[in-house]
Amino acid sequence: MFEFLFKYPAEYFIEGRFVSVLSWWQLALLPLAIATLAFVALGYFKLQGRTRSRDRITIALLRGMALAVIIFSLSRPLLEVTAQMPQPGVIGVLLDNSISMGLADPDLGQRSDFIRQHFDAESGNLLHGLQQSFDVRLFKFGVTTETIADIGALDFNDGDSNLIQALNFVQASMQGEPLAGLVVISDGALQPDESLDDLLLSLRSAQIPVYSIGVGASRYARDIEISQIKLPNQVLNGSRVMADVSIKQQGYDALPVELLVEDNSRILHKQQLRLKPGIQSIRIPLAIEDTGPRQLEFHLTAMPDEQITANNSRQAILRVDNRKIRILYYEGEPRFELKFVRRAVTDDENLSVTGLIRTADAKFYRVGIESPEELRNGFPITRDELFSYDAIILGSVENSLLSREQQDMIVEFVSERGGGLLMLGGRHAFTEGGYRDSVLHGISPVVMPDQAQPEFSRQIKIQPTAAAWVHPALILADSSEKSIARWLTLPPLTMVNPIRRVKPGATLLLSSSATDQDDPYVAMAWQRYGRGRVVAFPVQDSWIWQMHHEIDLEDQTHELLWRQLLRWLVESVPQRLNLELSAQKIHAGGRLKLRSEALQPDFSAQREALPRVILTAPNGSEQTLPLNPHPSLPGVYTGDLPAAEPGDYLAQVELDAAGQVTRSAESRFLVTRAGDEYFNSEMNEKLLRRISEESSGKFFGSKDAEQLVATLDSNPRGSRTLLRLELWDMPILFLLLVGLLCAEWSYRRWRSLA
Amino acid sequence: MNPGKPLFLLLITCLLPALTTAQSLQQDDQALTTSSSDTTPGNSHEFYFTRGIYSGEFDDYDEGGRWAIDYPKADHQFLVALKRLSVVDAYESDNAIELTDPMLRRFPLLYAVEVGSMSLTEAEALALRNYLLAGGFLVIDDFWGSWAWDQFLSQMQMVFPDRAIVEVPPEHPVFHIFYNIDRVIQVPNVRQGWAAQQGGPTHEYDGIVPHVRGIFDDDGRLMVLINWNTDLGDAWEWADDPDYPLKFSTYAFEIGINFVIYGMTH
Repeated sequence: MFEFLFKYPAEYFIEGRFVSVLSWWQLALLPLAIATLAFVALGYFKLQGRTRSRDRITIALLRGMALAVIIFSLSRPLLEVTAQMPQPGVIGVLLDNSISMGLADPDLGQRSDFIRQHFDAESGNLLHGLQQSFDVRLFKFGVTTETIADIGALDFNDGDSNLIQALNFVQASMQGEPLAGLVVISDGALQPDESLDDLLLSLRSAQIPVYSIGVGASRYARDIEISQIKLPNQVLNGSRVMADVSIKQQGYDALPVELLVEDNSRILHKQQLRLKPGIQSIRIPLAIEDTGPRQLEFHLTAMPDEQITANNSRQAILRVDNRKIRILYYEGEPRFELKFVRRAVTDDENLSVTGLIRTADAKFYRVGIESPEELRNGFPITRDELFSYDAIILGSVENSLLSREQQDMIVEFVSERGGGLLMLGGRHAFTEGGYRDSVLHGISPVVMPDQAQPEFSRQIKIQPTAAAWVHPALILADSSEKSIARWLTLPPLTMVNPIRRVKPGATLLLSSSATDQDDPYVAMAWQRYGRGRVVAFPVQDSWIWQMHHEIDLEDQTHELLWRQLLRWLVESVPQRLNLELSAQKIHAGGRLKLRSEALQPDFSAQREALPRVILTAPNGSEQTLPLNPHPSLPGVYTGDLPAAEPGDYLAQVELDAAGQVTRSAESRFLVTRAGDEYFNSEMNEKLLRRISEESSGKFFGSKDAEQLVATLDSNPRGSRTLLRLELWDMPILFLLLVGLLCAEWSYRRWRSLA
Repeated sequence: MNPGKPLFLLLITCLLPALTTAQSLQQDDQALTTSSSDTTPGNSHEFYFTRGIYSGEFDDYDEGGRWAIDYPKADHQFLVALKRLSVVDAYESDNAIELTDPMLRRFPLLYAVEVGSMSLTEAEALALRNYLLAGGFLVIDDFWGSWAWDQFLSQMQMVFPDRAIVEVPPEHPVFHIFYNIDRVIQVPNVRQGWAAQQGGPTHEYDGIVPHVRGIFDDDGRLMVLINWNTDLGDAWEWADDPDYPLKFSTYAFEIGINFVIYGMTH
């Protein structure tokens, strides 16, 4: 009866709210209508003759109420309500089209078979079940998301499965439709590159439940995988590279496996490992001989009954530079240390140590200079000159030999230019050299004592810390065990700078052997400062490791240490044109972000540069692409690199000056069909369950997927839509109007006033 | 050359007697004992003027061995000049050490004289070879004439059978690293120096022409510097003698300091 009179159910009037479609000027007429009513009423009250006051009031009320009903209807009242729409609504089904869906799991079969069985247009029981209640829209997602007519459009060959992008896409494309929910069929093996939190917030606010069916095993019974490789982006030719390799395994606890590292089929490293439960990380030293961008292959031998062997191999790319590293060694007095450091790197084609030595009070000697002008005026006083070096070694140079401006420039050299600073021990170094209150103490990794001890001199036996065992600069042999053993047999060195503390955040690498009475002295520590590295090596005669009578003539410890230390010191020193890629490996069809930085000779930003990138595809074709200036970072230029086909790509950034290429930088990246789809490829139940539960949907395993249709059918929520309902034509209004007019007419007749 | 330098060296020369006397009086045997000690000798200084003790044919010589000619006064007086004219952190006294002493490796610069009487044992030759190949620098001084050369050559062939001895070219850094030595001059011993004042010859035996020769390693580093037909040590030792010609002392200090600075930086 209520719905007959009021046109809509009573709940609408309880939950909804009244609005009007009238514009402002229409609403402005309301006071006029009220005034009309008042005028009518007054007219009645002024009637004279046979009428009494009671009659006039009664008639006026009845006529006024009738007019009010008319005005109410004319104002076009609406009822705004979010209402459950009767089923069928629309369901969006997202089908994972990535390569990992081709994986087969024991007892579950191939993951893609689930889609073929349940969503086939003719025989798919799940599809048919959904179609009985809903209008079903199919989408495939992988690298991109597309609407499909049926599963014939699936090839399970996408190198990525970007579920978050897919959900955002479908949500946007179905906006305005009575969406009952979204159904995701996926193994969830993805690396989300967009914010999952943003997606969930969006789904919740739109009240779109996501129902997910996870296909595949959430945990492999027997598998080993190289889950991560960490390498520096660039190294100097001939440097020792430390690779951090993470290995994940299930089902092979304590079994041996061989790890092989190859560079273009040349074996760089071979190692037998004993597998530990879960994830284990190892650090392995690599000596790379070839220059240019290198693609290293890391292999784990396949184990018996292993479920997936495609994740036993992984590639990593790094650039091996064959350039000359220029190092300025500043000594405040002639010292054998300089002689032996230069001697240690004599045969190293990539290291050039230029010495500036004070030989008398105002007399300097330059050794290893490249031109007569180099260091002619002593230690550099301009950024251009100082920043032309990659690293600085400060020997026994008292504080007063460096002006405040020069020291500030050294700080900038490290923090801005990204250069390396090595502070050696000596009678004029650290606190003994007056640096306690200097700006160089600020960037030093050690805490210099307050008081100088000029008489202090002690022989110390060097002890490597755990950090040194795996430090690329301090590995003195082919294996960690041999390296540690070598360290422990090295003869003692002299220390004249008693330093016992490193700064917070600094890494202690070498110390003196601890005694019962004293804390050990710091023999080597380092820290990053800005873009560069600072190393403190407060011993004054590392050359003893070359000259000592117990050191065999063929022993290369001293040479190796210094070469590695200096190479590591400048490992990340940027050049005047730099190139960084957002990833080393992507899937076919993906895009890579490129970032290039152009710098002036003093390493300030080069604002007016217009670098370009030349992309060489695997088939040798070249494509020149523009780079765009970064909106907020001067000297930084960015761009996207398309990678359609699998293979090895070369990206070269070039910068012109006066019509000629003056600088260039290059990097490689790898494009594969599968991308990283075979890694972390267990069904990602955690991700799928989270998306479902936080959007008020539900997660199903593949074995209980049949419950999906029943769950959707029984869902009282149905599809919800915001409705704006017209109220002007409610029957109650018509009846009320007729009733009021009839009542007035009847009253008049009764009172003989008509 | 700095125009004030001769006056400066003259001042040094004048100061030397007092200084060396004082040093002789207070001379402890710290450095000498290092040769037989297992503990590291005074490592509080960067540089020790180290004199090599070697086996010689005339070890029964009254002076106790030809290695010790001019020792220790020459060493002391040279160190006074070195410390005064440069910023080398030098131990102020002498430091003699046997070639076979393991501690020899603590001192990368070695000075040896009168090598015409050198008669190395196999152990000494091996120790010297290893010392030089490891990075040591040997300065030879005060041996004269062809007979002494032949003897020295035979000894060096024990040390380096396969390395040639060559003339050090005038443009070599060792002649220019601190002082510019444009011409190698013959520095006479004290008696010849006195005689030279009267116009007498400066040479001994048939060593008429002074030479600075060297043995280089595979990287072109000078390992052995040979001052033949000259006697720098006597010029240092007798720099305080008013009858010894100043020009010889001056030259000897200059080239001696050059040797040290070169040895510490190359």
